[in-house]
Formats: sequence, structure tokens, C-alpha cells
Amino acid sequence: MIDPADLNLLTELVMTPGVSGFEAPIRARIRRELPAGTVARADAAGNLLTVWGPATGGPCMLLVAHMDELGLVTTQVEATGWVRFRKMGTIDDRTLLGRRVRVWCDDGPRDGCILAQPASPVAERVVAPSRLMMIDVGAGSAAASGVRRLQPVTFVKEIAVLNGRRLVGRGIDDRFGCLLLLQLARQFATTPPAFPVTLAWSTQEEIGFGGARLLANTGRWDAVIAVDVFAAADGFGASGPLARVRLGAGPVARLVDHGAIASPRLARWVFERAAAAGVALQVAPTGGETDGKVLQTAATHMVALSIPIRYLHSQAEMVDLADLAQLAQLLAELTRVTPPFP
Amino acid sequence: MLSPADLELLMTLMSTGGISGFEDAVRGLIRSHAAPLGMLSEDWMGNLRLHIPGEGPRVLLTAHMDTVGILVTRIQDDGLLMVRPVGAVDPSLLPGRRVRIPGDWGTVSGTILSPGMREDGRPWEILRVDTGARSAAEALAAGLRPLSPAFLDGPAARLAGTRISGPAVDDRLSCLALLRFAREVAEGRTSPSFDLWCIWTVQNEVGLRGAEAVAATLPTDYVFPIAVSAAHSGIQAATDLGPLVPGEGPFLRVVDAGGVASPDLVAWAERAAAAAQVPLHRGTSNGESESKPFQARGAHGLPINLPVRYMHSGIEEADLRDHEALMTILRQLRAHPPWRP
Repeated sequence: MIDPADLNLLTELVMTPGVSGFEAPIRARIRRELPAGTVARADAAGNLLTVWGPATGGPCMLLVAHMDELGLVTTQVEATGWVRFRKMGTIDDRTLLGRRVRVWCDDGPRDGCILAQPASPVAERVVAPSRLMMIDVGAGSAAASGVRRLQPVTFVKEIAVLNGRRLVGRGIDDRFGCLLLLQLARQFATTPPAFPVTLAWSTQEEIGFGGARLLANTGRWDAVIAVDVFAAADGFGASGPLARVRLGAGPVARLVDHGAIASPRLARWVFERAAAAGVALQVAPTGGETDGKVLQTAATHMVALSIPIRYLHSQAEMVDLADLAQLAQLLAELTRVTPPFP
Repeated sequence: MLSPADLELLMTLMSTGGISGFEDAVRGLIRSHAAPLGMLSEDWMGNLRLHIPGEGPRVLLTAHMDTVGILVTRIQDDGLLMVRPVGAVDPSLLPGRRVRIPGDWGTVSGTILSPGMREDGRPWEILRVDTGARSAAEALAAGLRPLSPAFLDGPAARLAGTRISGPAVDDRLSCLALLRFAREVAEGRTSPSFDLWCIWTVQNEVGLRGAEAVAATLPTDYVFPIAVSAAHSGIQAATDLGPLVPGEGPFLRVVDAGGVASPDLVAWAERAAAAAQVPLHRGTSNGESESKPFQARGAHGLPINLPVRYMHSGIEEADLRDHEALMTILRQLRAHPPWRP
């Protein structure tokens, strides 16, 4: 099971703001959690990179998790003091109504909420598109709001552990991946890998893989492992080919999604290592895309590894802590044994 | 404000046909003005690259030469031309519009007609261009060929006050901005403190094809794509894009569908505008800018846009005060460059 200190750290990572394109706070937080003496570099896209193991020799591997989270940006402050916004990433408009938010103004955060109509016992309401929604920051005028255009907005988050084993909250995607990479960094600080391994916390994944694009264009790796979520379909609304992936049944090899098909040789090796480490690995196709898609085209073998997550991109993303621990174990195994290629 | 010569150049730029992939005429026009200003080359895609060497980081300004438009796909037996869109064209704005089609023996004029708009979202199947030809043979005899571009015609004009209107404000107004900036740098007594490349790109409207080719071959430190973006039109309700009004200043395209501008450049531009006392806003767009392929290769990027009404309609409206404010901000690149804190 996950170490209580790491569960605390995961909660703190989830609570740290990092809307796509505005990742400075979460980048600083991750940097602070790196083992003392770690050399970490941020590139022009804001990706945070650390390099471990020998400088040359053997295949080199990249493990990537995205640090950015879903959020909003302000686009216009109305004379009424209400604030218009646009979504950063794929967010269901229905999850926005009445939601508590925080606008990150130049002089600090301001709390607010997204407008919602009063409930009615008779009228069935149609959810208006988000471009017509507004944020109320409690101000009666544009000047009093203190809000400017293009400031990031985070959701006010709650996180809880259900039944001692399931973590629920917004933004677990992909902060759990960020935690797993931090755990690897800690491991590498005492026991460096036998081959060159880069750990990268990427940016702008939710709005089109901006960070991964720069990694793909500027780095060369023989194998890339994207650590990201996998929409489980054993919850509400589950059906079709996704139904096989269940919470608590182990991590998932994301072999086919809308963006990419995992590289067969790397996937085979991952399955071998999983078997050796005694990790049960689920396999399924899914929708969506990961950073792995753009990195795969940069002449690297790629596989995306995940844990199942329910209610993805909602305020109640849910993962099983046992799956998380199992994926940590698998990643440790994958960096312990030198991959047999190129 | 614009000199009479530059105003005339702008009007000519706006009136010159050049849909994506068919930029020859506008490229020729820009080449003749840019050639004396530095080392000018044309790459394999047709992008024009003007290099004014200097000591320091490499700075790119880009503006695209192409416009959205329509392309002849077929000549019918009855002489009418079938067409398809190039770039994001709103077909509901086309019926009744005059087009110019370069034919084998000169320009052929035509009118876009539509026997009633269809409700099923497939209007391109019924839009036709009538050039007066009464048969396919007559159309061919007039020099018309499939895959000819059809340029939306319309007079470039000055409107009241400082507003202008024309068929290709997007992005010829920015093409002029690059020419003016290059001229100022070229005429400067000292060489610039940066390595300046002004790039007039092709095929922006069909997916940033020209800019992709430049980004792939020209390592870049800073890129400033200069473009226009949909403004509050006065008849459209405010949306999540925020109402940006022509004449109230250019805006930094901080967020768009392609990503987020570099925060250091956003901060620099806002400082620069404040220092020069010109209006500057922050905005967003639902499209992608030419910053994307450069930022994906490690450049710092900041798209600067002017608000334009009636985008992609063929009759677009902008305000020359915004153009002047843009020039003022660009001049700050020399006075207070972003790489010198």
C-alpha cells in the first residue's frame, strides 16, 4: 500500500495550482520535492527534466507525467463584475455549474463561484454552454473584481480517501503520475539506474501536448513511458470495450487509444517485467490521447502505463490506492532492468 | 499614421488575390518591397524570408500572405463551376459575391450563385460560380480550368475615421507591419541587437503549413506571429472570447487552440506597451497561431493580433490605430528587448 507520507504528498500535489499553460506553482512544488542535490532543468515550454544514471551507454529511457491540470482562464470582466472564461482542456459543461473556483490574480488568489440558476421543482433545465457561463467573485463592478483577462482559474478541490483504499477528488489526473516520478527520483538518488533515464514532468498536455511536443523535437530516447490515467468503465455509464478495466485489479497498459498504438516490442518487454515483478497488468483500448502520442513519432518506442480512474475529468476522479502501489512497483522494475533494445 | 505611400501599398496588398497555395501575386508584390531591405530568399514552400543580420538572439516576425477562399473543382456541362472552400470560409456569406479567376488568357470574372441555401449543412454541394459560359466548352475556351483559385473580389476602402475595409485584411495588414518594421531596422544607423528574420508565410489558413516548414529549418529564439483575430462585431453577443473592439488596441493572444504564449514575452509586451503608452489587451482565439510550431521547438513565442470584424468574410474591417500601436510595441524590441531584463 502507498506510504502515508506519499499519500499526503499526492494530496498536496493535487491541491497545487497548475492550469495548462500556467504551471509555475506546480513546477516549483515538484522541484522542491526532488531529492536534495538533484539537478533539474526547466525548458522553454516549462517541462521539468531530471537525468539519472550513466550519461551514455545502453538504451535511454524517458518517463513522462504531465504536471498541468484542467482549469479555466478568464476572458472578459463584465460591467457587473461577473467574469467570463474559457475552458483549458476537456471539461463537461455540466460539471461547471455552481462550482467553487479560485482566480489567480496578479495580487493573489480570489475566490469565486460559477453562476448557477436556482433549482426548480418543475422546470427541467438545459445546461447552457460554458461560453455563456460566468464566475461571480463577489464584486459589483469590473473594477472591484480585481480580475484581468487571461488569468488562470483553478477549481476549489476536495480530496478524500473512501473506505480506506479509494482516493477521490479533482486533478488526480495526472498528479498521481507526478508522484510516481518523484518516487523514482528518490530511488535513483540512492540507487542510480544502470542506463540513462530521464524523468520529465510535462506541460500543456490537456490542451494539446505542448510540452511533450518540445520534448519530442529536442530529445532522443529509445523508449518512452507515458504515465497517465486510463478511464475505467466499471463505474457509472460504463459500457462497451472499456468495461474490462476495473478499479483495484491492477495498473493498465494503455495499448491502443485514439492517438496511438503502443510500440509492440516495448509493450512485450513491459509485460515480461510485470510478470517478473508479480504485477497483474490489465490491458484494454480506450479513448483520448497521451503525451506518448507525440513522443512516439520522435523515433522512440512508446507505451503508456496507467491506473484505472473513474469519473475522469470530473470533480470526483477516483483511483484505487492498491493500483497506484502496483504501478509504482512496476515502474521501479522497468528502471531496474536495462531494456534489451535498441 | 500610415504614409500615403504605405496606405496605397496596403490597399494594393488587400486587393491582390492569394488564397492558400496560390500566393504568387502577393509574394511578388512583397518581394519587390522587401528585396532592398536585407537578404531575401524564398524557400521550397514559397515562404519569403528576409534576413537582417545582427548580433544577438534570433528574432522572427511572421505574417501570412495567403487568405481563405474558394477553388474551382469542376466545370459542369452547363458551364457553371463547382467550388470548394480553402480554409475556413462561411458559405452563407458567398451568394452574390463577385470572384476573379485567373484563367489561361487573363482574369475571368464570375458571380457566386446559390439556388436557395440548404439546411443540411452541405451548402458547398449547391454553390456555383457563373462566369457567363453557357457550356463546358465555352468555359474551357475562356481559359477556365479545374483547380483554379477563385479570389473573392471587393474594393479595399478607407471607412470613416481610421477604419479600413477590404477583402484580405487577414493577414495583409500584418504583411505591411513586417515590411514597415524591416524598413525601420534596415534604415537604422546601427545594426540591430538581434538577428532579425521577417517571414511572410504561405498556407497558414490550411493548417500553418508554411510556418511549420520555417520552424523545422530555422532554429529560433523568439517568434512574434503578427496576425488578426475575430473582434466583437457589434452584432454578435459577447462570448468566452471576450469582446475586442477594433480601435481599442492590439491584443496578446495568450491562449488559443494551439497552446499558450510564453509568459516572459507576455510580461515584456505589457511592460513595453505601458512604457510607450499604447493600449494593449490580452485575448484568446479558437484558432491556432504560427507560434505553435516554433514553441514546439523551444522558441519563446507571442502572437500579437489586431481585432478584425467579419473575419474570413472577404470584407474584413480593422482600425489603423491598432496597426500603429502594434508598430510602437514592435519598436520596443529594439529599445527594450525582452532578453535584456
